[in-house]
Amino acid sequence: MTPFLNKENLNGFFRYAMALTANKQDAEDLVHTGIERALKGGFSTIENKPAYIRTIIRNAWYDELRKQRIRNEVTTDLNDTVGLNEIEIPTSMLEVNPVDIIISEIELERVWGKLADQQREILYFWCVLGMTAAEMAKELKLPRGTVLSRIHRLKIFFQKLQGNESEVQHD
Amino acid sequence: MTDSLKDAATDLFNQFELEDNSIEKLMTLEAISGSPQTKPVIMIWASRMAVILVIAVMATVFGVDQFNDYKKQNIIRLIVAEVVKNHSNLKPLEVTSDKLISVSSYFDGLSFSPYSSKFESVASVLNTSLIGGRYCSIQGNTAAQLRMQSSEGVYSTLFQTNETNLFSDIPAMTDQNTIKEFKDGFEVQIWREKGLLMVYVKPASSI
Repeated sequence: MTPFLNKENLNGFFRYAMALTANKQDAEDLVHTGIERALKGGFSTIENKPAYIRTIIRNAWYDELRKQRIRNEVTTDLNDTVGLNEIEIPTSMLEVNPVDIIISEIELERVWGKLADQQREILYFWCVLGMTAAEMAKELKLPRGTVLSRIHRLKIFFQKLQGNESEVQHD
Repeated sequence: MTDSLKDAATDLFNQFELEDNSIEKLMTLEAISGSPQTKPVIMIWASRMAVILVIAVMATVFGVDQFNDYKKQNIIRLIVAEVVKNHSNLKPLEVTSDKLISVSSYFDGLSFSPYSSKFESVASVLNTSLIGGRYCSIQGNTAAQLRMQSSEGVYSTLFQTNETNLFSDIPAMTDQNTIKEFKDGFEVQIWREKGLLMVYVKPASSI
């Protein structure tokens, strides 16, 4: 039987950690922390092991941020930068598809560091893992509306980036 | 190249890969910790180690017991052989007296004064048949050799020496019981009493 912690799964966790940290060293540390903690606590009985490890990684990351006392600062700064906190979400925007947003990989890489960790996290779940809002809400233990809001903000961000802000607001 | 956000994000994330050595380390963690896939193997090894550990502990415990038993039997065997030889040699007495106090006073080179035993049968012989004594040794420890001769001319000998670690496995006398061994037609009784090792030798046939 193939071990659960194979190259593919481990790189998956690393990519998720990259979504949170945007830093390779931090991401690698997080994956190590996540795996170690997961293996300590009755790992064999866990049904959804990928989600379980991602949750540990996520909690470890927020613990780290708390320790550094920078979480609020980072989140506020990025939300302010994007300017999305006060935007009302039109009902029509609650179901969006990442295929509909056009961006080059180079452009995405350029703005990667400007995204908040929560936005990168959503990007990973949404675009790479292909999760629905409901699945994300379940894994993040958030209301579905909150997840949709984050998706919407992400979309707004990219559309602003493309100079399509006016078009989005008219939808 | 312009692409959908989904494709661009997937391509971007796919660039992020752990180093091979990190992957190896993480995979090792799973093997060590006993994940569902590796647990049976780990459990097999753990079981084997447990069995080996139990065997080792048992071997140690029983080995120590057996060694102690061997040590005890060996020291008894050595004492028996030595005292029977000394008794049989009937070397000249260095002090002659039928009074224990007189004979005991001769042994001023010992750290104790030979005295009558609580072992009643020996005490009785000592009181009635003592003829003298001489220095000797038991397993390298200086000892007093008290010789008795019955009215029938039968010799018996009481050896007394300091109790040392060498004799620690020999039981103290309880309820007039002692270790009793036979060799070359002699009966040898061995016991510990008041910090001394006592050995009494007499012909096996004598009462």
